[in-house]
Amino acid sequence: MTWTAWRRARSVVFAMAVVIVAVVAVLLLMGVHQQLVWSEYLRRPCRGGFPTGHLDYCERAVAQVSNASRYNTLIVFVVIALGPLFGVVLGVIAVAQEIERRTVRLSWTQSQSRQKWLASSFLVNIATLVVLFVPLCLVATWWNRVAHYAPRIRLNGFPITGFSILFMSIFAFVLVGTVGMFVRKSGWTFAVGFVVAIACIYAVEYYVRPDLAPTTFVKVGTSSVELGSASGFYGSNGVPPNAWEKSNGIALVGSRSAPSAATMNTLSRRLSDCYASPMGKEKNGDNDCIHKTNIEFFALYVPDSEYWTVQLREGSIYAGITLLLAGAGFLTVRRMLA
Amino acid sequence: MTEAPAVLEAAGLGRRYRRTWALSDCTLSIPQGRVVALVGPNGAGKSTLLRIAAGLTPPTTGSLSLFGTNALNPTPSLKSRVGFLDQERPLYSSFRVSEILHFGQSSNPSWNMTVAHEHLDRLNISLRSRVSKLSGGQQAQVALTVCLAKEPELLLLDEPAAALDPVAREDLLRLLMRQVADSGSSVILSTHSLSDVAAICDYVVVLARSRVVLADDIEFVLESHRLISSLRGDATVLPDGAIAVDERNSARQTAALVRVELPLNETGWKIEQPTLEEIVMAYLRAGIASPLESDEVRFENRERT
Repeated sequence: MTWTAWRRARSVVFAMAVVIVAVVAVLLLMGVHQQLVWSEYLRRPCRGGFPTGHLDYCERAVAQVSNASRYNTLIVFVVIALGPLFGVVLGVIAVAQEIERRTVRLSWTQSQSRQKWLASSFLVNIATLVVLFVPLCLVATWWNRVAHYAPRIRLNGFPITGFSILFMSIFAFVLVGTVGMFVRKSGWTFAVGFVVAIACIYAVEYYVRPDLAPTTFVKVGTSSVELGSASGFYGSNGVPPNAWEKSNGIALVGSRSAPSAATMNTLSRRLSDCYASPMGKEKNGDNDCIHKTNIEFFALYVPDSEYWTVQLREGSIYAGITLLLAGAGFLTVRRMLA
Repeated sequence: MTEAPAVLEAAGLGRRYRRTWALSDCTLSIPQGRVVALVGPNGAGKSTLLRIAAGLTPPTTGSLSLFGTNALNPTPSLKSRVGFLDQERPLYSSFRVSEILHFGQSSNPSWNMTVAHEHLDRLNISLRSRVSKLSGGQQAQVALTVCLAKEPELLLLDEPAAALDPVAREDLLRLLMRQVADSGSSVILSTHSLSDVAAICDYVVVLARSRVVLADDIEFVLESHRLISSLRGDATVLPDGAIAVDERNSARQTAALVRVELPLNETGWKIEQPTLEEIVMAYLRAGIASPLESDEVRFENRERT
């Protein structure tokens, strides 16, 4: 049965492998080039800035960085999309296509249970996704670092680093495999499955991930000072440049956590009133008002050190949903019409 | 000695799709070692009955056992005793024939590769051919080979010869009969061809309007039915022991196919031996319960309009 599951998907898997090899090659070529231009800009005399006397040289260096990075958004979109897309395609082939072409009537009348058929199909395709996506995950993680695309903990850097793409692909595969048992048509299963998979991935990214790791509360200066960073990233004063800043605002002096929105509104109003008063219009009025209203600026962020915690927890969430979907699939397949 | 359990036993079996009953109140007992023809018009429930027996479709009502074992949730060991050929003969079209055989081998512990190769050699079907490149008849043969190489004790064949040209049809039926003779398997096959029934089957089940209307040995069915006719006015009441299955009236003549329980006396009726085709057609036209099962259906009790 495992052989049959592999044989059925084989030609599509080979096509997927070609696409992944091409994407990996592009990432490697882009990464090597971007690593060169970034190192040119970050070393002396520019050091990631525009020191006096080297303005022209550093402007050229930064133009090279910008030129080398022009396809970053596109390549990131392609890399992220491959996970759910390939998962959905294999999910359609594994179940909906078998039902639509009636070959389940052949499989289910051989000397084995339907559950074994489904288990073989799921395991073979999940193993295939692991083999396809682990190299891509490793290369994309390397590329993100050398291309200085985004801090890996942030929303735009997280999906292309670590094993996020693999988690998404396996989740999409099992989701579509299970959906296919109900929809039973390949085209509709692809359409419905892809939309549902993307909606779930979006929900995890924006509504679940922000709560997956403890945040750090930090006081920041009264003005946001951008500092040059050897990593190529820039952060607000007080927030590490490679951290994920989730929110910022004002709080009473001595606070150790972010106040509620209502409290922040009250403090903000109080500060505005002070700015509008004669005191606020004097020289150093801004600082005087901040001092008088007893407030300070803060930021909440997730440090880079929490990266693998978030990867592990998000991966566990995908694994949990995947197991639930697979369980639903195993219950459904027992009483399905062929 | 205890009697061997029936190869297939159904009690009150029914399957409903939305509001339509595809099979209704099907009660049957088919003895082992027979070649059974399942006959009926389109939509009579033949394929539904076979798919329920193959474990592909769960019934809405009733029970079904194969070899005395509940077959509604068939175990792998029960499945290994049953071969099923679907009407649409689904095969993996991108596979080569050898890969189809490999699929069968990896899915069935009792697989006999020699049987499979011999059958395909006899039919000149190359193992290297892709299924999608084979003709409809060859695909049917490959699908049948997958069934036969399992060496099942019961073969369920849903219109195995449908849409085949006469040569392919004869090849397929000959192959089937050879296998049955060699292995002693039981076969239940659905068909629209009454000539096939007469040629290869020894038991007939007639389904009409989703119900079983006749189920018996063909020899007994032939023995127990007569075609009677008389000129209008010569006879108005059926002979004793005759139960009408179907009757036809014209201006000059009354004719009926009857089931006989006693030797018929000559009472003005002309009595003839019907062919199996005439008997089956009479049951299909009447679409009634078998007279054996429903004694109320008697010629003399029916109101004529």
